[in-house]
Amino acid sequence: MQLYINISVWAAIFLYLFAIGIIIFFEKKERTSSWMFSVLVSAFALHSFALILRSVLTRHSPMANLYETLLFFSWAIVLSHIIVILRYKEEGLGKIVLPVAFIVLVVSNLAPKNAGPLPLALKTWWFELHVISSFAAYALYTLSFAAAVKFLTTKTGKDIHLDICQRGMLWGFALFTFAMFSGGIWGYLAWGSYWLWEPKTIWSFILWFYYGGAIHLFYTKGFNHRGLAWGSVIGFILLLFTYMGVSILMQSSHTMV
Amino acid sequence: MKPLLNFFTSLKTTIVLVVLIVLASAVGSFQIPMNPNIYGNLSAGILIPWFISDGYLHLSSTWWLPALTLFLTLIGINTIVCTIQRLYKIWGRGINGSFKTAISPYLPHLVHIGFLIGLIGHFIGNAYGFKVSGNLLYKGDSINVPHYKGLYITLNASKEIIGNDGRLAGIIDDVNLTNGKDIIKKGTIEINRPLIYKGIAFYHSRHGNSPSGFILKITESPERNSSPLSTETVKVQLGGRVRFAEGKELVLGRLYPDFALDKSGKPYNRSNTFNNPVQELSIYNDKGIKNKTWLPVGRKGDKTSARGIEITLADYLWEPYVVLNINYNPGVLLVFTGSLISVIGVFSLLFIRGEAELVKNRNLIRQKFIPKSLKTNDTSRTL
Repeated sequence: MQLYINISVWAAIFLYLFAIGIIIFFEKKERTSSWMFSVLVSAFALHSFALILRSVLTRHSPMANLYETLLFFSWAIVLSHIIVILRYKEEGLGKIVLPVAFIVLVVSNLAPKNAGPLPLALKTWWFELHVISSFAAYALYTLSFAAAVKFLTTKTGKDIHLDICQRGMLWGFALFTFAMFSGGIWGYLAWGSYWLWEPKTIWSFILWFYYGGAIHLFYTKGFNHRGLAWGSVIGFILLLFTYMGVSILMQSSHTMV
Repeated sequence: MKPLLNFFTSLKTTIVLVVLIVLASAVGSFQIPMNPNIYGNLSAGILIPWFISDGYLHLSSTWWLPALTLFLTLIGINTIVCTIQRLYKIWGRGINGSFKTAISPYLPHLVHIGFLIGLIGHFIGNAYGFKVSGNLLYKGDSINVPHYKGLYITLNASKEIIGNDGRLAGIIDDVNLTNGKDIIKKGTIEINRPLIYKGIAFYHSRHGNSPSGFILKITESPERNSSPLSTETVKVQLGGRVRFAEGKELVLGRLYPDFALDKSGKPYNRSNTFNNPVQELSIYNDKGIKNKTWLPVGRKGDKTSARGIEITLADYLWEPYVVLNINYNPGVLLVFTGSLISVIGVFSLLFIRGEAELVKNRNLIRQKFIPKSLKTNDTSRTL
């Protein structure tokens, strides 16, 4: 079954690349807009199919190792982008969002694809809620970052980009707060502690605290729009370090993510 | 008093504290994996007692912990002062309009209050309570619950659940909590489902079967190389005794994990690891005269002999055991209550106050900061 998953993922990668090409080279042409959207949705359907097959293969949600979480993370990024297209008719963010999703998906293919059973400590709804809300938050932070970059670098559509940047941060923060809550409960029930003094937990706290602080400063008038946009860009760098940097550079209890 | 109040209500204070908390945490995240000899048992214990006993000795590495505690305390005070100030102002305006309009200004402070409750709980949990790992329990055994006089836990049974695929799907430990006489609580401990009694949580850490004794073959021969008079197989528990032949008794003494003899022929342990396990045996005859010998117990078939008696290790007696972690965190309820309030607060902001309104209001306030040339009138693209 892993063969079908690989085929679906590679087909999705190819179609994402095609969609990125359309956005970059034919952005201004309206006729290509529906083309790009069709290609994107097709790629997303294949990506979703791969996730479903992986769930069937492993008999659990696809979130138990680096390969699965990267697959899910890129899927969540694309989903958030499709929602933005449908809601705002804003496709330009795809120039930033889709390459990020594309890179994450390609990297996922380089990770080991072991399909072992879920460790007993991960067999709980709290784990699934924790991981789903974490990656949904990561995807929204990524979307916010893309909108922030657009806001800082382009002169048109500023209000939309700012709107997406703020909403991405707000929803991302809400979901990440829930992720911290569900992760704490899971940790307490599984290991007897909602908090561990280890790098991933500490960086998750840093990320939550940072975004909380950035939103707080914006709403208490400490940040102007540019400040918020820069806050989102720095937040994305922290996110990358929390997700990838900690796993690569430090030993952590979150070996799977 | 006023300068202090101004300090704690200042936005600059908040910004500086947020930055300092992030920096101190980041330093800690690098220090922990770089110094496993210092931080190895930090998560297994309680922060403040650990810091007083261990962390304090390595201040060059652990300074970020008291710094982080100080900054979190200051931001806690900052949050309290600002929240009270804002709530006072909102309350002063009175209740106008619909329920949604009336409640909306309070919602951000629900997040703050949740954060504060969680922070207080976190401080309590880092100062008091206990975490005791490695509590070994054999089936039928009782142990005293650590740090709690007069409370005992008894393991009635431990059962492995095997799934349809033949793999381990779960473990259920059937236990009783007693006061020494009566059962206070009956319950089970499973993975992800600890037994909780008065805030004390009992977790399954690991389980297995452990040798609890030996099956020994005892052969009596009157003289060396003569045919045996009798052969008998007996079961004996560690530290136990058993009768064999007529009037003879075998007593299991000390078990040496890494047996050696010193120059005077006296036995001792070279280490505490099971490199050369040897069981001390005492054999009493019907007149009460004792012979001492040592039986290697590293593998089946090991043997020893003493005065016409040959003792062979035929097999081991196995007994199931579980190892429990027993934790008590007096602040955990506050932490989860505070976190839940924060979650409710954040989602209430989005759903009751409305994220569209949050963004719109802020944009209206900020509109003056955007140059006119960058403003768009294309409202059809926003909600």
